[in-house]
Amino acid sequence: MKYLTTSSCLKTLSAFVLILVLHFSVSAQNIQEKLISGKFQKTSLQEFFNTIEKDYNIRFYYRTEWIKTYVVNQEFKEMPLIQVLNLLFERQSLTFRFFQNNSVVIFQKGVDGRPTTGSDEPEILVIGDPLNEGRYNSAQIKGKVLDGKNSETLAGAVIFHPQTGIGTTTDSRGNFKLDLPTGDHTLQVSFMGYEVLKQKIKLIEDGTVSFELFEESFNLEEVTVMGEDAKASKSQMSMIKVSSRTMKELPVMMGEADVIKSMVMMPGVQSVGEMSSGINVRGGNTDQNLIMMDGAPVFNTSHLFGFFSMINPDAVKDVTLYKGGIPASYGERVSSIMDVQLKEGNTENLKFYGGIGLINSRVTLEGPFVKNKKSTFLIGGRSTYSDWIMRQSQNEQFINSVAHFYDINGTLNFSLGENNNLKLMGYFSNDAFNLNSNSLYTYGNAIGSANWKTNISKTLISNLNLSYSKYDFKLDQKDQNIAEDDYSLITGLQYSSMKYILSWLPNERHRVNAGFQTIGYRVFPGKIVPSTNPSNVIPEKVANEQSLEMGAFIDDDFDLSTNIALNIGVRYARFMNMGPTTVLKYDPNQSINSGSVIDSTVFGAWKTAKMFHGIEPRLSLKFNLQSGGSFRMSYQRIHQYMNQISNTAVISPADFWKSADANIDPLISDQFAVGLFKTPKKGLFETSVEVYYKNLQNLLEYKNGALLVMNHHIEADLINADGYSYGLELFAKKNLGRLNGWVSYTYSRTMRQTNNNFPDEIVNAKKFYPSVYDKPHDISTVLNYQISRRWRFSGNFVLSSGRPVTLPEQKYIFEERQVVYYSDRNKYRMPPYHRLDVSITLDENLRKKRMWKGSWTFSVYNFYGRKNPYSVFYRKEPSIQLQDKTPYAIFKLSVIGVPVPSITYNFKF
Amino acid sequence: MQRRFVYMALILMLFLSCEEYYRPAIDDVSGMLVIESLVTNDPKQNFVKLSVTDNFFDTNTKDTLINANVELLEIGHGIIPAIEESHGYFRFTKTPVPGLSYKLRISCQNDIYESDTVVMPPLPMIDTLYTEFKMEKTFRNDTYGPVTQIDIPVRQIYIDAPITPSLEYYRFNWRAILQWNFSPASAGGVPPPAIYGWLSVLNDGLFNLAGPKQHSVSGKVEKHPIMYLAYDSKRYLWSSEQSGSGWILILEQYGISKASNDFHERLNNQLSAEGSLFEPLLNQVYGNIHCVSDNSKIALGYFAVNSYRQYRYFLNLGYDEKSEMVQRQIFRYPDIPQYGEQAGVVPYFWEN
Repeated sequence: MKYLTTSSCLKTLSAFVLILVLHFSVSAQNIQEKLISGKFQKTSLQEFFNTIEKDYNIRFYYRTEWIKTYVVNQEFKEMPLIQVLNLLFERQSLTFRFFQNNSVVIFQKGVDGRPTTGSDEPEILVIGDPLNEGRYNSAQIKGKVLDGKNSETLAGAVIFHPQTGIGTTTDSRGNFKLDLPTGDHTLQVSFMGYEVLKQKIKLIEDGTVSFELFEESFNLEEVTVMGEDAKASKSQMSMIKVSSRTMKELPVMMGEADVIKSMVMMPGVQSVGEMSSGINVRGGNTDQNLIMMDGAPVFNTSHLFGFFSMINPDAVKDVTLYKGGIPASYGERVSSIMDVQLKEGNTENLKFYGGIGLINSRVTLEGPFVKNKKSTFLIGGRSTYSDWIMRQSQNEQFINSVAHFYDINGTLNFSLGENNNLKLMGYFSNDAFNLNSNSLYTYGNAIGSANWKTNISKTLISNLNLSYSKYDFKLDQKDQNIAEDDYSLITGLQYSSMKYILSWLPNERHRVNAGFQTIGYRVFPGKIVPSTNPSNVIPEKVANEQSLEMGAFIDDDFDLSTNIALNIGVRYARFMNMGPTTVLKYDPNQSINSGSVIDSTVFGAWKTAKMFHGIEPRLSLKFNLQSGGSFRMSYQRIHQYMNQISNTAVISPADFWKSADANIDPLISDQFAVGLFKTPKKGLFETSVEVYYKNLQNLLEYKNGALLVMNHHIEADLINADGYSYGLELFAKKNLGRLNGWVSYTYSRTMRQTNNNFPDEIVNAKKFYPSVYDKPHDISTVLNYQISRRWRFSGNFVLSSGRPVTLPEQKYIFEERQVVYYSDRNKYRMPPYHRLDVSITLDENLRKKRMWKGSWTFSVYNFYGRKNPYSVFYRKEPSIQLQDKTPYAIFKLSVIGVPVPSITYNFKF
Repeated sequence: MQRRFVYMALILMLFLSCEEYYRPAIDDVSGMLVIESLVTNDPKQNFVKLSVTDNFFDTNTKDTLINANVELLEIGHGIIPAIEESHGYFRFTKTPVPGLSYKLRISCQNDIYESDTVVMPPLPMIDTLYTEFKMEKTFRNDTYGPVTQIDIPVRQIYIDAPITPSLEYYRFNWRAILQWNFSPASAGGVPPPAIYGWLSVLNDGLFNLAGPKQHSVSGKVEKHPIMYLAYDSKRYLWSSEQSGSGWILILEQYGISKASNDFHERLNNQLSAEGSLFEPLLNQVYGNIHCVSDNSKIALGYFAVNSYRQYRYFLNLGYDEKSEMVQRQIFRYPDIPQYGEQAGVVPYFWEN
């Protein structure tokens, strides 16, 4: 006979206990899953418990006085016990807990000791069927994080469970998954620039949920470092990024957001004034900025002579402006590159939105157009009804006037597998303007681009951009008396480009970009066409220009050490002015004019009449400081071969373009910039100081009385000049909080000098004089306040030096008329410019499920009605009572001399 | 409501701009010599005026011109001296001849100024003068009120003139003399004599220039506007008891060179500046006279030798466009003062 040893007895006992425990736990699970059937009509709860006890061998423990008011009126068909009990006690003051494997304890809620995470959120989000409460130990939450205002997904949002330290982030489509124990939890959902959401949840079983976040601050920021897959280099400086949301929040004229004018609120960026098309970056001319939509350049950036931007703000995803440190992949313009990226279209749902204003309206439709939602589209348009408004007027001046525009834009985005993406963009616009005169101005843009991005491998990315841009201008001139003298003047420009960039990321420390670009230009400087038949007008044409520009570039963006990042690049630019053309040679001992021609050469079609080329080094450096922040510097050289010919203070749609040729050298700019950047308090604030110096060679100035239109040899009216600009830019911004905004101050000078020897080519006796874009002081302030979830206020204040102006200094009588002699060019300065704009916006409804969302924006441009002088001129005005009794006087014109209120209704469906 | 909305939108779009008088602080600078010349085949228009510029806001004219001498060089033929009839006013003793070349020389305060060489064009002529009814739209800019548009029925005067290889450009000047009369009321007995008076309307606006139209091959100056006269002569008179008795139009035609035309065009650009948003940057109006003794000194003004012809017409517009209009060329050229009146006797220049 074998005797059991103590150890073996213990083992046996342990196994028995284990079996019992397992049995109990299995039984405990079993008691929850016990299927209950039965029909109970107006049965007291006590009686119900008695029936279950008897039929299912389950004991119920409770206090009679707690349950005496409960009545069961249900039919159960094989329903698990846990669901039965959850159904009975749903929204009741009693709850339950299973005990051992055959009992249920009934007790009042609030004393059960169930763990909670102590959230103070009043609303609890229940995930799962309440009938299954307590049935599972853990569950998975799937869902999305959305922008509460426009329901767009937020990629990279964080969902975090503080109690367990478990967290996850949303993917590029805003989706996430998170596994948690069942029960009550509080989750923290956050995204940069948005209010943190603390959401209390009751997790019962697997479920799907959406979290909505609302903006806490504006996204406008002087961005110097972007995400890992961003195009900007690690050492990038002098770059501004504006999101479409930010742009729309700024109070603007007529309530219509303006992509171009929103940039004017940033340091180093100015404009000549209201009604001016384009911007001036670090003192540069308007034509020194390359403004692109999805890689295709825009040659006329405004509608209605500067009133509205030609870019539909609803179609814009974001805008990036390089003021300096321009990457080697960009060339063509010396002052800045503005890259406007248009939206691809919503990947989830069809969306329809727009705005209705006092003079114009806009609509946009976007969404997926294939079943798998991988390909999307966006189409939008704007138009004015100002013509109809003017025709309703009794004023003859308006009845006979024309002022309207329309534009249409669209994108198609094709996701061709995981590694390929093709984006197509098209834009078309037309303007017509005539204010009770015999001249009708019409002009328009036609722009298109195709962008193909391929991930060749994990370390190799290719980008191919094909773009086309066409600008046409027409003036229909009607003679007051003779119809046979009517004619049309037509000018235009065509641009075609192919650009290829190969990006190689061998490791985390390096990113090498290399590529090439080929650009074809066709310029139509002017053509006169008779309007009637028969006609007294001879058709006339200034010879077209055709040219080819090529660029090859390479740059390497790398970390020299943990604290030093460097970007070294070079671009080789080559420009060829092609035939057919006739090149005149002028006597070098005389001023260029029709009388100093000594020879001419004829070039046939596509023969190179003149070739220019140059190396353009690019360098930028970032040094991280011990105290936090960084020191940066950059250098760039750029050649510009195309210039806009304009001898007015403001660019007009009638101005045309001119390429460098045998008699006009290309513009060359060298810019050097250094800066200090810091983001104190962990990004709550952002501060920067930048200093720059820019040297310019071969600027174009104009001779006295220059005739530009239909000038067959315009070089005879141009003067070669040099110049320089320098400036100090200070910037401080508060990123977060209900109250946020920024202030920027720029001190800058922009000077010009003609260095020629012939009298008609000398301006201001060869002394340096301020450019018309010289504004020494410029302050911009933007303030945003989120009053409540539906109300927000925005205001901006600008103050700048008046722009230089030429004034009459002396007067004399000539043939009984008073004539004036003007001062040196740009000797004087107009009064300072300052303006306050305010706006307040009410969002009608922020509920995600609501189909129609609208908002009202009431804004006042020029709140205190400052009469900012736009131009100063000299004129006879006998009705003005003048102290000195002279019939002539100097006047100043203010384009916007009163507060301009506007109301805009924006909607989204 | 709709109308209010329309006007509000219009105001927002087009009435936002405003213009006001501006008096900036302008530097005081030293004066420059101004040369105004009118040298023609008409002995009464054969002079040079010299003056000095004033600072823009000065109300007192500078008078710093001393010891000036003016002469006209007739290239290949000699020098025509000028006699200083009054301070700064020089008259030539001989009129120029069409086809010959001339140059102006001035010596002033130890400096010598010379003009470019210019050729006198042939004598000008017009083919015809005619009138048409027109409703002239003007804007009254009251000191105390808003800008209002006024429609005035007028008779617009046009001319046609030839364009030839030797003479393409013209400048016109005019003076319209309104004849009026007034019969004073009689207190009893012999009625007092009628009053015959006249006043002049002058061209003090832009220079009236004519020539080949830009881009046009029309071989003549066609339907070129000269000026207009309102039907209602009381617009020019100061008493309701005065009555208009027709107009004498003195039309002066100058044959000018292209350079002179361009110079006056630039003056017109300056005189007509409206502060438009897209006007070219302001430019100096330089003439064709240079300081040969000191390159740094600038002379303002222009020298041209113009051919000249005068036309006179009598015009009686009637009351309105339906009235019969009288137009007759006058072939006598008495001197007519700017304005005046006399009692009982019709002035010697009076036309009926």
